[in-house]
Amino acid sequence: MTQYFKLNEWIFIAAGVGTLVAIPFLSMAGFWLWAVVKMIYFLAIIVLLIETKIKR
Amino acid sequence: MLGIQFIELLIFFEKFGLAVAGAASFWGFAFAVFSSRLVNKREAALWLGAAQKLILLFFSGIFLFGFIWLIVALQSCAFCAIGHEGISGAPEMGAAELAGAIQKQFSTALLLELSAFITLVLLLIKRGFILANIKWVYGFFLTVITIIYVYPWGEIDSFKSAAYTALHNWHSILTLGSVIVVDFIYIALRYNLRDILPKLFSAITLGIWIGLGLDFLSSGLVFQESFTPAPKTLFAQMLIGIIIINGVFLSGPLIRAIIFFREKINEDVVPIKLHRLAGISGAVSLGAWTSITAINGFHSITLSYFGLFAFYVAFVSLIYAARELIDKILIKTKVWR
Repeated sequence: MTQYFKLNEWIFIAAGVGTLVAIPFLSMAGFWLWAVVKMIYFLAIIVLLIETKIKR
Repeated sequence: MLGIQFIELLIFFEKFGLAVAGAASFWGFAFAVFSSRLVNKREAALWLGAAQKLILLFFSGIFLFGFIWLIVALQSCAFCAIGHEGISGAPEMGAAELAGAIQKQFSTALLLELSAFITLVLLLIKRGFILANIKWVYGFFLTVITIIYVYPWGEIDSFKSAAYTALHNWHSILTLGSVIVVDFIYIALRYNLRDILPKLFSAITLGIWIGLGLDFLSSGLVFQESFTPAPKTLFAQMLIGIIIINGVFLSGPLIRAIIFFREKINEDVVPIKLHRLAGISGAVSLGAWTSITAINGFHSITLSYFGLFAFYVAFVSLIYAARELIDKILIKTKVWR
């Protein structure tokens, strides 16, 4: 299974799952919970850009 | 109906049209610039061909935007004459603000539509000239569309609010619009552009991820003062999660499998299961992006969380059925062969 996804894709999946899991808690933990999940997303973009650069 | 006002529905279609036109201009410009830098003439011709073919999508989007913009202007009474004693035809405060924004935007929207019309006429009578200068054509339209998206046409509360609106509007080019571009290329051009499909999809996928990131940045500016745990908001968060996870599957293993069949097996027809999976994933993606854009504009929607979900599932099914039908028609008529 690990071979089907690249590193950036795993991090994107974590961000997506994190977004779904955070939904019931957003009204309590609000901005900071939301921000942490988005940080994971931006990390995925950075890794994607690095992997694209390495591939070239 | 369902708390959705007719004007909100119109504004959604207006945004949809402009996002499609903006994305077609953006990627058309990017592909044309990339083509001009390539040494390999065959590859350069393919990228330029991709840029030129996006003009069909551009015109579809721009004329949808123009047509709906006009209807919104009429509905909101943007150009109603002020009657005696200052009594205007514009109904209440919210609509008056919309009417004011439309009045301010009029000259730019008119420039956009007139230019699109002239370009279409030139394309019909001097096709070679337009296609040879497609980079400049797209560059011009992208600039005007960016102005429409970014300029604060309405009332400005604060710089943060204006920045949010500008970023949030413009990101539609890289997200909703780009998803339509991907669908257009996959459905209509995947055989013509076979040799550059991997690079093409990679580029657009990166754009979509960055576009979603821009949306998060813009939302972050106003999150603390604007977030409410309403069904609509929580449903939008669910759609974001679906967009990300589905996007990974579609742009990752699924596309790689399709490319594997083309490059390694040299087979134009992919296995039916793979084709269906790609179709479902594409429909989930397009359905999610369209739904999130729509509900963002429906301020008083009364559907519950589960009502919204049911609507989304029905919408995705409709998109999948439409894509399959278009695909079958294109195969039967051999449009792209």
